[in-house]
Amino acid sequence: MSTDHHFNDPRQTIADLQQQIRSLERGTVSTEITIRKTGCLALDTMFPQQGVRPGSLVEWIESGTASGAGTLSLLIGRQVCQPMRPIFLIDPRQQLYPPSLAALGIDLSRLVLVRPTTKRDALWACEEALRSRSAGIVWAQIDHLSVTAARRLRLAVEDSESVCFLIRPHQALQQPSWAEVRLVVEPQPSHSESPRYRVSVAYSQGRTLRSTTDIQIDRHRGTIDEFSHPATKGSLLLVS
Amino acid sequence: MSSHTRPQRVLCCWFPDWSVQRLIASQPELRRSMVVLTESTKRGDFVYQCNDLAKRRGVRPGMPASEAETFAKTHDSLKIRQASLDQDKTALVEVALRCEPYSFCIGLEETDRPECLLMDVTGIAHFFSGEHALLEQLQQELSSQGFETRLAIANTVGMAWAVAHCLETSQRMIVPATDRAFKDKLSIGALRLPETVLAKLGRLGIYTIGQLQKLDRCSLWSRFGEELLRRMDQLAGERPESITSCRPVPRFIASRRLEYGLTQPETIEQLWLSLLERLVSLLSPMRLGTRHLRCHFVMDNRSEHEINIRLCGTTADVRRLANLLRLQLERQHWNAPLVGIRLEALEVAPLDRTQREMLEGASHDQACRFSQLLDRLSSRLGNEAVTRPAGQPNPIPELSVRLVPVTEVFSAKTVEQDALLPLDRPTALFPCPRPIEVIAVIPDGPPTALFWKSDRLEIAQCWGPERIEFGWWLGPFVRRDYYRVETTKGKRLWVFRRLQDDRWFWHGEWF
Repeated sequence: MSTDHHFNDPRQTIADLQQQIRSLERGTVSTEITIRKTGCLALDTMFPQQGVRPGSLVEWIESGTASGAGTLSLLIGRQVCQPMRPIFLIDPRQQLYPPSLAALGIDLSRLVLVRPTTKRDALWACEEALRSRSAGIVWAQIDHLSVTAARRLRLAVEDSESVCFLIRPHQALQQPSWAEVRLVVEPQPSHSESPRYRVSVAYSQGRTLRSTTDIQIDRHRGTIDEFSHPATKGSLLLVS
Repeated sequence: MSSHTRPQRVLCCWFPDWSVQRLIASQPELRRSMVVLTESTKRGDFVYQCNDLAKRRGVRPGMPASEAETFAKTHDSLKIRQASLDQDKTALVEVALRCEPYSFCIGLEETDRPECLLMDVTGIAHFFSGEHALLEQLQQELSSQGFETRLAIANTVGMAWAVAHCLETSQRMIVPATDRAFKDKLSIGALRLPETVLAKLGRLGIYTIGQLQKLDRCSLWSRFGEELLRRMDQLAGERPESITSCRPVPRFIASRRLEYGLTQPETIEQLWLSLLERLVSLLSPMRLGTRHLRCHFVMDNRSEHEINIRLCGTTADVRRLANLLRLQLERQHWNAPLVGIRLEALEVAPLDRTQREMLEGASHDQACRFSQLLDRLSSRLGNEAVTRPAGQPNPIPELSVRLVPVTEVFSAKTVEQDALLPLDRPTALFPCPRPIEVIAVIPDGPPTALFWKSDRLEIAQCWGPERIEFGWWLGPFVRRDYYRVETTKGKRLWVFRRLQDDRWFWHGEWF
């Protein structure tokens, strides 16, 4: 009877465990994982793998009310969600407006809207959704997150094939985090109907090509484009 | 063909003037008489139904009973009886039970005065060598019992009912499963609508369902209410309509009363777990599962607790049900020993009847995991907290969406919203609009600054107004001018001016 070397070779077991420890500690990933693009090249470069890695935890930090972090994360969430998989939105603030989600291109027939009444339930629902490994993306508004809870979420998302987006208030920057990337979103005055936002990397587990970028959401197409500032004209020469 | 892809076939058997038919069938000597059934109202006795002879003499339903008497000729044997709706219904149920060889599920139409039997004949026709033969045999059998019927088979309850009511005496008709356009030719009278709605449609010059379908659903809803859309969707099969069986459904219950109360959680769990196993053992041999488990706990101090577990799909898995029950029991704090438990399986149906619309394209394993997740979330957070959004044909933003619990059967058909651009609506809508103070340069014009609590927000740009109004005769009177505004710091808000009193409100934001 042939024996299975995977179960009997202690060196192989140790190597596998070391690989797992490395991956958990540094967020390193095997190369066969397909990185999902956000739909905006400038935003892709703000992630260590030039896109969102399945099994990663991303925090979107709000810079106050109407910061755009939620809107931007929902747009990117739609983009990186695995096709034909359900989208879980955990909305303890009870403010998400489904018609606007449909207008952003999110398929409402695959949407599950969870509205817990307590912070504890919101965290529990988020972890359950990740551990079930059936969601395409889990998006949650979590105000306060202890180190232990954050670690649990990180382990749950690493285990799953989905992506977890957390929307956090600005105070969360003072708290430790287990997120792979933390992005701060600030609204910028725009001179058109398409809103502009500045996205900056507050923390990243690995090098990113960029730390700050200005983006614009096209009002008519719902796409995210990099906003390049119009070049300032050189000062006029005095004509004598 | 799998059971999932085979279209449902429904047979509608209509007994015109059922009350009269029932009376004559039970008293054959009345066959040659002029039979008039009356019903009493505050204004006196009026004709409810009458037989053919009475109709030939000129008697019509709705006329006073005293007037109907004058139509009888001297040689006519006039029999005036009081209508008995309860007896009529009981007799119709008896007929339904006698028709059981033709269908596994037979019910009555759901009205106060039923005259139709509805039968699910999916996959049954081949026992009678086809649907035509089935109809012929059924009609012959009912005719031999003295009943005149009109029969139709179609894909939905609504369509079968509509076709049966368009037929002449003793006719039969089959609408092919593939005929999608047939309904367009039907009259709106076939939609099972109140007379007032039919009259209103008639005044608008709408006589067929085809004409009705060309109209905008949103305006139909605002003028005629939800009922019209529901009936249209049921006719087309876009909204499920079930047949409630006449045969009393067997109840699946496991219960236990104790002489001495239990206080230890472990002992209590052992007890309900053994009852749950017993309950599932009643379902499993018939390949049945439950979508709703009701658990009743009786305490020593006579207080009672009820826990309801609703599921997305039918299950007969003890472990799964036990986990869901455990989740709910974690939150229960009982202040007295437990002396009785009663578990009842409700919404019992064949296994594998799951809501599949969200699981298309998923593997069986994924679908199971997803379904279990929804059950767990609903059990712990409550049904109302785990939902799916469905659009409603209402222009008022806060009423334009309905959140349907995932444990409820979901109709995929939603109302087409007006085409919105990606950022036309805020991603966050406040449950209650926040009253704000506004400075506007022009009276009734767009805001230039707004004040919320102690904050002053300077408005840099403004787009609008977008007028949203809803007539007072349709419900809440709403007249609002909405503006999308951008503050000098780039924040995007959604504010409106209430036109009745010119007050301003902040209703949402692109958060």
